[in-house]
Amino acid sequence: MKSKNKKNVLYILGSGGHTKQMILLSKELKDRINYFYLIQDDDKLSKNKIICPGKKIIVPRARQFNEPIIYSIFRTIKLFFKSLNIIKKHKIDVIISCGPGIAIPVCYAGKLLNKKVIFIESWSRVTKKSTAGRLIYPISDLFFVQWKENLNNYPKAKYKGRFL
Amino acid sequence: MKKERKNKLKIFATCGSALEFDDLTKKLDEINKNKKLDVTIQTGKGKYIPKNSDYFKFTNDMNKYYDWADVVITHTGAGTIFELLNRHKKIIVVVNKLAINNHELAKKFDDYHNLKFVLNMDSLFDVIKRGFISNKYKFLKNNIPKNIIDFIYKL
Repeated sequence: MKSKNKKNVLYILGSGGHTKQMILLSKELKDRINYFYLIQDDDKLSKNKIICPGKKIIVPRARQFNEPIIYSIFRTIKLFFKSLNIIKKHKIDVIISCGPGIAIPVCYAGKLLNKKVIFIESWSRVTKKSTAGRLIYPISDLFFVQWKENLNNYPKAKYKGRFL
Repeated sequence: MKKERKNKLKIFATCGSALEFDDLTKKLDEINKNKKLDVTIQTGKGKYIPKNSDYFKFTNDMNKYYDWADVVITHTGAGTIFELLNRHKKIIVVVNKLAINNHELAKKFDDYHNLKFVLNMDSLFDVIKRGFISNKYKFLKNNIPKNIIDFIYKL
């Protein structure tokens, strides 16, 4: 019915479990949205797990483990500007992620351009906030937690079940 | 020889895909130095090559190994833990010190589902020896996708 004007969704994959949750979500959303997958350049696995077809956008990793924080900050700023271009170029309407660090600059870029931000706190967070969750919560339009306990941290979040 | 292999305890260990976890691979390989166990390890990003165990880096079919194993040893990956609990496996969760913040979930499951949660790698062998069975976990109903679609369609 509404499929004629399907929304363009920037769909952020992370690594490991982050990707798994996003793939499980796409199994349910099916072809009701247009997928634009954001994938980190050192992530060789996520690409092959995609079920719903969509454009794959490769970006450099924002945060490396065990590297000085100043590098991470520099990379994050770079990714923020890159994200602005990606969002404009592909006419993105909505950004969805479930918590990899890379989501932070991308979501802020989206918000600056007045796009909708949907965030799902990872299923691995029971009572604590993730860094991405903490920073994206204030700018999110729809925010989910996957454990009831985590509603204490995020009062305006929704608890609507879990991916597994 | 083949019969002997059959009677060995079958252990599958997974190091996940996001971080290296050579500590686990090394420790398990060392535990198995007399080859008394039948060990297969998914080593992921790790660089250590096991000497006494079978191993591979990644696979698209983890289920095959979950089914095969008597005991599954895993990093604190939530997706893997849910999957294993649902399969009613004997599960040992070992904390990777590169992701030490992720252990609250494993601890929660330790309380409710009787999986074994190992913070100190040195106790791994004792846990394997002891033997146990975890309680089954039932997947929750998930309405997140429906909520997302409703939201997007209203835009």
